[in-house]
Amino acid sequence: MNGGRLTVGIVDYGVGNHTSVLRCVRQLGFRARISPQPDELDQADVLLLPGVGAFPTAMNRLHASGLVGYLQQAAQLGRPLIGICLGMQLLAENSTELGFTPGLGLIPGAVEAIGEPRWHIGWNSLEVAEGQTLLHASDGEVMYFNHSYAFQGPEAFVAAWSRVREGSEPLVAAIQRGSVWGLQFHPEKSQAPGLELLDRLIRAGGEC
Amino acid sequence: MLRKRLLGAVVVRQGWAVQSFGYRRWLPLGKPEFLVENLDRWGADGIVVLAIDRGDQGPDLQLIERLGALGLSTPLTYGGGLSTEEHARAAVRAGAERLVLDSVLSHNPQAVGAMASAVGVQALVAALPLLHGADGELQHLQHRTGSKGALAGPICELIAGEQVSEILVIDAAGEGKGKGFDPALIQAVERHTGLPLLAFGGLDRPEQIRPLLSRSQLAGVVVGNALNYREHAIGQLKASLTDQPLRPHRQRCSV
Repeated sequence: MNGGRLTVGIVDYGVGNHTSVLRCVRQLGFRARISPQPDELDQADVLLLPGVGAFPTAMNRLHASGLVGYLQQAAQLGRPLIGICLGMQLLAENSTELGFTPGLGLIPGAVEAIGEPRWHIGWNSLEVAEGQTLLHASDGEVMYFNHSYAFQGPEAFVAAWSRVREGSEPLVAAIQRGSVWGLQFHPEKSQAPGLELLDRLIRAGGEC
Repeated sequence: MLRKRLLGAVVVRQGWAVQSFGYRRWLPLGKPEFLVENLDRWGADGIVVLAIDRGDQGPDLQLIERLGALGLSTPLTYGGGLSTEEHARAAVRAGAERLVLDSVLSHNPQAVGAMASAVGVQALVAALPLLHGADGELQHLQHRTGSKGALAGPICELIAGEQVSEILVIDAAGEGKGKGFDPALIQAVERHTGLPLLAFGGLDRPEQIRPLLSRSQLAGVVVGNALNYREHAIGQLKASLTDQPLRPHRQRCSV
């Protein structure tokens, strides 16, 4: 921590736009920097892995940037890491999007096509899993989702779900393993409820 | 449960936000940034920025970057000048979450698949400006050429192949008139596809919006001009539509 304010390192691997995440984190009062450099990311209290687009492209870029080993080591060391949207999916063991691609393997599970309907686009409420004290305040809150593939894995790592229709099979909305978190929705685009949730996760990460 | 959306639209021409009257006359309203910032502050479920005069110039990346720099906490959808995979990548890199495709659907439909691979199908929305002809037949208006005709085969194939994730159905005749959206247009599109639909054009009042939202395939409505003349118009509209499965209104506040 630098001067009492937490620093968030936004992992830049050349996929998507990180400015909105940067602005959001700064609005919350944290220091933030976007960087692809491990030595700069080492200065951060919390790592944030955003992402939009396709899984294989993102993994290729992470490999090309030399960040796969860095992120895996960071997780092993217990450093707080938050993946957002595609960034959450990258935490899984693999994905079948556009063919089989191994992921970072930080949380047991795979990323598969949603099925029917094919997309989960728009605002949907969270069903927070029991015992998830950090997310508890967001139970029932409505967040912005935009994805066509979803995480599937052991329930022990699922922190929250969402349902496209009442009574339909739930989709995984958030995952957690130790200090590694994944959010399938975009907290930075979910207005006050999203900002509040992200604020809690970053603060909790800073206490690790 | 997935909520239906009430999205705000900002139409941009020559760099200025304008009030459009049937895409034939335009009243300048000011800088797009101001209108977009208001929609973000007032709690719109999404913001759709349509730069209607881009033609072959490609997307207005400077505009998207300026909007991205506002630190919006509302999803931003951009349309205008998008015709290649690189345009799609660049627009997303600049700060758009989703992209509205219009003339590329007719002029270069092969590019849509590449765009989908680049940014994901979930990011792509097809815009279909529609109207009824003299004999009541459904016509597709091509803004770029001004021509009207039946939906072209390649567009139908793109839709059938679900290479886009939503369709923005535009009431081309009602746009800018505030007299309501022609529900027959939605019904006609529903016969072609099961894709989620967004309705845009002529929507002003709750009684015009309610019957559209009650249609199961309709994912949301896009309101343009009506939001520019009343402060907190989003909240007021939502307060009149509490019987609909919209996201509860929550105005932006600081944490």
